[in-house]
Amino acid sequence: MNINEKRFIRFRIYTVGCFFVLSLAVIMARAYQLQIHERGRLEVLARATYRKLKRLPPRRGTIYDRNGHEMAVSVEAWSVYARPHKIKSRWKTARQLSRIIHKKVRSISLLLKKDRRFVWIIRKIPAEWAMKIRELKLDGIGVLSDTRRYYPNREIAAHVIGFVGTDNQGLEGLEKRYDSILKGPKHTLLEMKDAFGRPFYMDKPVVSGMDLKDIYLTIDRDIQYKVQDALREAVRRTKAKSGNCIVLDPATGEILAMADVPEFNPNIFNEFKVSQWRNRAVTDCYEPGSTIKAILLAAALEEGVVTPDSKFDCEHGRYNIAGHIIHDSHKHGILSVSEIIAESSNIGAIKIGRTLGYDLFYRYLRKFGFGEKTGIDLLGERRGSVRLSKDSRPVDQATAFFGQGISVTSIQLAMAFATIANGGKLMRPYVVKEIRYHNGKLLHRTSPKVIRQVISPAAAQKTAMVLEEVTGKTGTAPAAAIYGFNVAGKTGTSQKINPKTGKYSRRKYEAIFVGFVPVRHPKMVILVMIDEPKGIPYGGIVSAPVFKKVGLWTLNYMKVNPQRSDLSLTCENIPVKNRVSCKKNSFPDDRLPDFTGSSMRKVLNKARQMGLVVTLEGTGMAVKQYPKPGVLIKKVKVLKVYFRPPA
Amino acid sequence: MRGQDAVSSMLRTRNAYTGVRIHNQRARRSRFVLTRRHLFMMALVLFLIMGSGIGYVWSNFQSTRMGYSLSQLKEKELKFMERNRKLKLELAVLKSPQNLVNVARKLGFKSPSYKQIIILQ
Repeated sequence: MNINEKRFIRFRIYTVGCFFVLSLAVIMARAYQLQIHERGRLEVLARATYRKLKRLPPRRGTIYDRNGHEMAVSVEAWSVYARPHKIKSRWKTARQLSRIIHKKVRSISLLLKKDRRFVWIIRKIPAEWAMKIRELKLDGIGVLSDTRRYYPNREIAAHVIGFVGTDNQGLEGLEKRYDSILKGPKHTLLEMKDAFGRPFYMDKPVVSGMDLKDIYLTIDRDIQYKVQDALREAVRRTKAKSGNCIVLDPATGEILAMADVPEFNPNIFNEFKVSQWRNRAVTDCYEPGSTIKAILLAAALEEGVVTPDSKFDCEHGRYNIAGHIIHDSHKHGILSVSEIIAESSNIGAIKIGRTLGYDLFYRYLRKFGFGEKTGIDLLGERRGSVRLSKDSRPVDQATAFFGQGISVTSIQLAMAFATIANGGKLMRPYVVKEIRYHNGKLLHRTSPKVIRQVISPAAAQKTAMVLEEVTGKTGTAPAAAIYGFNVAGKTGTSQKINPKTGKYSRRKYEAIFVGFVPVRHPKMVILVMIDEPKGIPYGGIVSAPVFKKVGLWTLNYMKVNPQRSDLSLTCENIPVKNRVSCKKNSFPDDRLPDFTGSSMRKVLNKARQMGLVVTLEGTGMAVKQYPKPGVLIKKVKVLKVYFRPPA
Repeated sequence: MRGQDAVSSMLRTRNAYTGVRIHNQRARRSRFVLTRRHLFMMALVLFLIMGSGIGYVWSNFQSTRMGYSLSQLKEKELKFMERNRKLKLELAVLKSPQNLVNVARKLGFKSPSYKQIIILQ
């Protein structure tokens, strides 16, 4: 190899080397350009091709009743939109959509003609319809997932729960009051797709359960249903304008039921009048009528100015105050305080009121919560009004003692009676018991709150005893008496003011009954207000039967045993088919009868009459009992009866 | 002069000046021999390289395959969760008091009178 050959070889080596070095430099430069210089722009471009963000519809927390029954639930629905500028044949598209969504072709076509980039065609449709629309693959038509709020119990507690709008925003009731809590966050899922558009990766759906909050109410769905049923029936029967009813636990202030008639279905709230959406129990004020006499009595007893036996002259139904004649519905002479309340004498109430003094009465009205909001967690609560003595004439002060010139809400009145029922404590009413995360973890629990001690427990007890006479045979509301229970309450029949004349109407009344049961250890306060009943307007006739119906059912539902031992159970009261076992007791009344051969029902009924605690064993007919028949009932603590099926 | 001649002429000659005998011999070159051990090591390295290559490709393939099925399962999970919600809603509608009362009336049931109800403690 000569020197030239060697040089040529070296030249070739250098050339190839340079080529490789240059190529590497070009590659490095390009890599720098792609990876560093244009990284941001190219990353976005790349992501757009293989990554897709899947939007999950924003969910809303569930509303449950106190027993965990669903009252408001959100489920997936679909909404159809159009991009009008992308649609080639509007009429054809409209016709195809019309077949699926059952909407007029013309109305769809009008939507498609709009000069907008985005138009909703229909909102919240079922998944089946959405699938059909997708399969059509129409240009400019798209389907988006959404959620829809359902109220499975329809009218039940609709006025309390309220409803949401098209964009899932709370519009009324608790849906609006707790909108920020119920509203769930918007979620997106990251989905990665391959060259064929098949998803091969999806990040984890949000199922932590900590981002969504559910509300548990104090409302009991079943009591609420019964209350609405009874109230609806009463409003229909009396041809009244409207009515509302509250059932609450006086010990805690928990609202067990709050009903309004006329009702509305929150699933289709648009089909009802706006006035029907209002929760009248908290938003409407009215004159309490004679129900206020219970407050007057409580105040007078607390101040010690009267006793239940104090006597007053009721002026035979006609009493002159500063030139104004006050009438009673019935003429009465001398009546005790108990009788004044039981028979609801207006003149008697004025006399008690004057003994107490208007200023003290006013102070007690305020202490019982009138003229201020109760603080219930519902929207639109009104204060009502109570007049100061300086703002009212003597006749106004006198009429205030029987509930004229005062305006209250149903919730205020119910809470005032709850104060008497629970020993004098004014409680804060509430409807939301708990707020929990979707996974069940507790976020907030509402505790019963005592606002103030209004009257002493002794005065409250005395008041309750007097109010018990209202439901007695001589009282104004025997229709409110409940079999086996002592009931305390007060009727009220207030005249409405005619807005045209500014005077009390002689045709329009409000019939009220509010009371609690049982008198000892009350389980519930029930208020019934019926607005403008036709015919006889008295609270004891119109509203008291609703109280009885609701009270009786609710006591059974709450498993409260009758507390009075004056239940009469004779052979005649027992159904015919059970009379076979109805034999006459051969022992005196103070001794334990022989139960052998009796049915379980008969044993229980009889034992209940005698106030005995019974233990049952077996089924069929009674064959043995302990203690044995003839033992003094006073000495029996527990009666044990053995049963065996007939051979 | 050829290279080979030059080398042979240099063998067993003395230094012209010093008379010292020079032993200029070409250094013996060691020959590369592939022993069994070498072959084994080479095979092992090759196996490891190829194995890890195949393993990498296989795991990527598996990951993608599982990604597809995982994606489908997650889609299903979402659908089932939604279906569960709808079924719960349906159950709530069926269990609503209005519905139960209607069904009971159709079946000929009546509400018990208050005297017929005895509460057991």
